Amino acid sequence: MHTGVSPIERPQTSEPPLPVASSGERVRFPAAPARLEELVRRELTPVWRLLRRVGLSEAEADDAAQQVFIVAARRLAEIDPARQRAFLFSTALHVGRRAHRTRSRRREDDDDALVSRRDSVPGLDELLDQKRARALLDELLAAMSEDLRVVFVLYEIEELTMAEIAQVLELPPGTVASRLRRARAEFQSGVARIEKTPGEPR
Amino acid sequence: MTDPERLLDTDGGGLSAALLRAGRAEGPSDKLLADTLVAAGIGAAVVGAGAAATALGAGSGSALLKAGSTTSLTTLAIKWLGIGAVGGVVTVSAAVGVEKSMHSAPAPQVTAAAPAASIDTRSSPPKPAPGPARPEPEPVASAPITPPPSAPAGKPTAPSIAEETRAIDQARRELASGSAGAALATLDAYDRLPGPHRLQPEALLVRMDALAKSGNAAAARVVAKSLLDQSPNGPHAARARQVLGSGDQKE
Repeated sequence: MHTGVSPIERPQTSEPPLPVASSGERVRFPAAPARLEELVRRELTPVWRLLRRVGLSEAEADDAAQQVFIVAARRLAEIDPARQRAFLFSTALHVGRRAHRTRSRRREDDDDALVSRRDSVPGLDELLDQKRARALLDELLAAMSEDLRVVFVLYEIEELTMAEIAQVLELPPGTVASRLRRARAEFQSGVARIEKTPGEPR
Repeated sequence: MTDPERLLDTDGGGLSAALLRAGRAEGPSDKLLADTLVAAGIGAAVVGAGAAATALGAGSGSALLKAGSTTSLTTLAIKWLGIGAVGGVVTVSAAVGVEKSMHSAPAPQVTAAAPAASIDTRSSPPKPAPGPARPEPEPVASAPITPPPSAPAGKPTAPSIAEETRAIDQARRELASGSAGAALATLDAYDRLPGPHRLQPEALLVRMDALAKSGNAAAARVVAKSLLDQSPNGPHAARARQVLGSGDQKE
């Protein structure tokens, strides 16, 4: 399936390739500033959230999200409006991977600290604390392989359809479905472990 | 392909749902929207006294969009400009401008004298858009394009090296005199000149410094990263790393 976006595995660049018409020429789409502004306003939060869920700190996600939209701004005329979300998410995954690679040190802000040194298992009441819940969520996600994590996040948190995920990752639909099944099983297994653990400090 | 029911829908009251709900609820700071608009090249009118920040605080980008609001931050900025509710407004644009000639050859050293035509940053309509508050308001500065005299109508031609040099020198002077907003406006005008720009890396360098000086460290870091991505061993790499390093220290 040609989608105009690259697979997450493509190395060395954070910029997915763009559609080419049957004539061999690059397809051009409207690149009005208004389109870009709308794109930023509508998609910044999902893009940022995706970057967070794949393991970036808040500060890293801030920088990475800006990079994603700089790429989008530069190539707006080449991005099919019907697939711009897939382009953004695909670019975000590239940028996120690069941020991981180039990270020289990980600054542990409050959220990161919660993720990395959870010292107690919270009960349901405590999960009303959203930060705590997100820390647990990230811990479960971090235990997954990247392939599964990305599909899980895109489906369960960002609410993309399976077809959209197949576009973003340039994967066959069957592979997406398979990864989602495995990811859900791992997630549910992790949740079950937490639920069985007493909510007292360890 | 039939999509399965999402976990949040099948486990509404359970732990899985609580975790997923928390994940969905997270969002970036309000400031990031303004910074990203600027970084993406959408002009930014910086409203002092936190007016813009207040406007931004109304909600995230998606929230604004979902609300069907067409009262963009641009409009808000124009409003503030119009009523003069704040002491100073700076029209800045942090358009990274990486879309122009980032793959061009390294910029030559040019010392050509500037021709008569110049980039006028005083008379064009302002290009207001949201932006983060700056510590020191500056006068309004906007940047029209003075097309090259020899450019035939309807057929954009690249600016001459002299024209590019003049624009960047002007931005440097403005920055050196403490007017980061004016420098950014001049760079906006430069970016809007038609055709490929041979001095784009130099323009990015000045833009990076102007953004840093105007207090938009996040956007400055983004520009620095772009510079490094394009030319990790280029003449501006050290300065770009310096900006990135200072950001790290602040964090």
